[in-house]
Amino acid sequence: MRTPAVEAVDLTFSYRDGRRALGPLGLSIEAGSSVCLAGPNGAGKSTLLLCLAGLLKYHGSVRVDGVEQRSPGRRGRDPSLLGLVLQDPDDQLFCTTVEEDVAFGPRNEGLAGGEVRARVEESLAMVGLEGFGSRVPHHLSVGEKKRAAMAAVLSCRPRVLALDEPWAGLDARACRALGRILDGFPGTVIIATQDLRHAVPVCGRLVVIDGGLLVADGPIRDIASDDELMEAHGLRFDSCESWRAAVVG
Amino acid sequence: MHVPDGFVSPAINVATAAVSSGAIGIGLARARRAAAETSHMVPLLATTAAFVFAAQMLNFPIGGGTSGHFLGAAAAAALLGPWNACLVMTVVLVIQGLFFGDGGITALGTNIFNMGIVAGLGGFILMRPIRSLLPDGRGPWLASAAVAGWAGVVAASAACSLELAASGTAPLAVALPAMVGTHAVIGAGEALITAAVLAAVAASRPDILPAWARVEPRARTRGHARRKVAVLASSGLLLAATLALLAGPFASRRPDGLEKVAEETGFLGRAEALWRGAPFQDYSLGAVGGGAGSTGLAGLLGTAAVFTAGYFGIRLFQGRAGTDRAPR
Amino acid sequence: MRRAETLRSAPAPSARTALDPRARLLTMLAFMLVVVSTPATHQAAFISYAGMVAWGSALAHIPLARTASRAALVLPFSTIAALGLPFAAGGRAVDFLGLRLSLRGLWVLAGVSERSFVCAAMLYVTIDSTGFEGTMSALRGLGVPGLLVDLTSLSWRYLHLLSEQAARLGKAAAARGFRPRWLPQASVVGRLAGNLFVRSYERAERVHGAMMLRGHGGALPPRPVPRIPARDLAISGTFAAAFAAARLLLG
Repeated sequence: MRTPAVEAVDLTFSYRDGRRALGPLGLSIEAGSSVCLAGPNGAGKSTLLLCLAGLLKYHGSVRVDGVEQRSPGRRGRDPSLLGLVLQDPDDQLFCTTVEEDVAFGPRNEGLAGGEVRARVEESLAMVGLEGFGSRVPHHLSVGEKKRAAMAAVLSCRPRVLALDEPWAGLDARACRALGRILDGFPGTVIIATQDLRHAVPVCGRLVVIDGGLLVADGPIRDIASDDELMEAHGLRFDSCESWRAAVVG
Repeated sequence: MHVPDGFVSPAINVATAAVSSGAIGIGLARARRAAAETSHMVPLLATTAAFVFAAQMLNFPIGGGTSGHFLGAAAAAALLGPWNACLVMTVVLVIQGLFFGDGGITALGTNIFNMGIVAGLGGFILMRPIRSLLPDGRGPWLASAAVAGWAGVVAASAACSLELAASGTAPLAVALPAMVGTHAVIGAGEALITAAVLAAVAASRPDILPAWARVEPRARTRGHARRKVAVLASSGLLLAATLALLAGPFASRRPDGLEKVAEETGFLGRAEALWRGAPFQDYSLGAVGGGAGSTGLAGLLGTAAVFTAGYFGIRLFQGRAGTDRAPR
Repeated sequence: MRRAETLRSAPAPSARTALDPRARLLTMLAFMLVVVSTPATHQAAFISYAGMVAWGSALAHIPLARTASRAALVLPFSTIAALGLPFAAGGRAVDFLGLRLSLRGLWVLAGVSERSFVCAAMLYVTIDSTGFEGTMSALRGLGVPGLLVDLTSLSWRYLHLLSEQAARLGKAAAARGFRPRWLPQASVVGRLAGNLFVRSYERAERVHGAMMLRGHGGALPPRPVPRIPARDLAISGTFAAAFAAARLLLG
């Protein structure tokens, strides 16, 4: 049996004040698949992603490609295992220019200058931001910032790409561009979102999370068409037909 | 208080630059060590500098249509420690000097000395004795930081005027009362804002506070604490009074810079005040006889007034800030 | 002298002569050191300094009016020197609008005003044509501790964001009728500032997380620093010599 790309066993996480935020839950994601993690606000989607990325001190086990994520070791985390694109791109673009941000990961890996430059160009091309290297993050639009943040994560060549609310705040054109980028990504994709409209074309599997626990897991179209379940967990799936019906009458 | 290039003599700039470099060096070494334990120390220092920069743009009313500006050194010191506060203020001043034309480059050492070391470290040094007099807890933390805020701003303005006077840019008898006087009032705003900033932090993120500020004071120490507050108040007043009186002996000194200009331009002057008989000569009180004593007295009265206002202001704040009330 | 309206991003560098940013900063520093050591009485030297700055401004393709207006922002600080005019002891005095002003004091005022103005102008020309990135790498190359430069860069990245947040908080307060008129209202400003600090603190935690996510082990990766080209050092030295000559010969 192939090692799952991501495997969480008996995962729990509690806040400083003792409140349980997540779990216990178990999750297994096979390599190359695209999973949507949906749930209402405060369900624990972001917390789960942070645990998968190894940023939080969870209890239980999380393995990415067989590597336990909790103890990163002295050199820091290995960003080529799982790359996480955060919800707020301003948190991830902390350098003075886009190029420096995209180069940050490769430089930490100790790559030589020429290799770093190559990775930067490759990553910017992947997200459609060729020539944006010298731009200042503060002046980019929301869509450009999100893509730049993604390029900064992609330059580490992660095998698993996790994204937290990638479509939030984007206009229709930017949403479509993002969908194309995700289609082009060869590895495993995990997307945490509460907006399923854009997830359906990209992800084959839907995992619903609410109150820190997994409540549903299966093919996305099956679960998404279960109106009762969607309603019960604060999700909404407006198909194009129903939206058009609401507008046209 | 950002001194541009050319106002302070090169000698003083070199001296303050040396002291500032030393403090920065110590701060950087400590930050590197701290980054090993508090891993978000490096981004925290940077975002705090960004915060101080942004907060310095907030102006508050003093009255009569004028406004003052927040400095932030005491708040940074209360939250991150004095050496980190020096680093934070250094970053702010470097950015302001290089990219916003606020403060000179040759004068950077002087500005860092005044607004980083004197206001930040110096203010923090004041927190220690106050802290030892008061019980642990949120209220005392706020109060001591507020006092440090006021004292830091006043001390920085005093240092600035001393530097200007020693460079011959402005006579001490004019610069010291003018700067210290205005900053004694601005300092009250600094104290209020510092306390409010810390209170807001304590309310939403108490885990950021230093350990001694998180402790709830024990009820049975109230009587003891009341005596301590009285000691604190009177020693603080004494300190402020001493500072004000220092203006007196300096009032009659002639700055060297002007002598130099006099020699070069060929003017040999006698030590004679230009404007005899004026009511504001040397900033003395008309009613009392002229001279150094009345300058000191004027400073003393002004300081006492501000201190009283500040003291009651802080007590008001302590009550609002948390459950720790100042003992009655 | 806090001016929100001059808050601008890293300036797009105008005409870049190929002069290494480090050489540029060194030239600027040499200029400033010469200027601040010039006594007020050497008026001819100050005229030559102004001419040099004007030439530098033209070289960098910055309109002279912009340079002059930016530099003029330091002039209000000269009032601290002007305060001493009627009170300076000794020497001849001139009559002006009924006041007897010390001539010595007037020289001091002229000196500080001219020095600060000319230095501010040269600073603007240099930094505007070098840009933020260039200035930071120049400082790093000139031996400023790497951690300090990194802190400055990181701080620069977020101060625009935080300043916008501060402005929004101020507007929100004004929209709810907050009109600051007297000192105790400073506590409201303080609450806004406290809100701002908590946001900045939490930003630091998230940025730290983002750094960890990309393999940051504790120290920012070191940047290689090439040597200053000898040509640029020579050009810088020539300028410095010209400044010194102006200082010593004119007066």
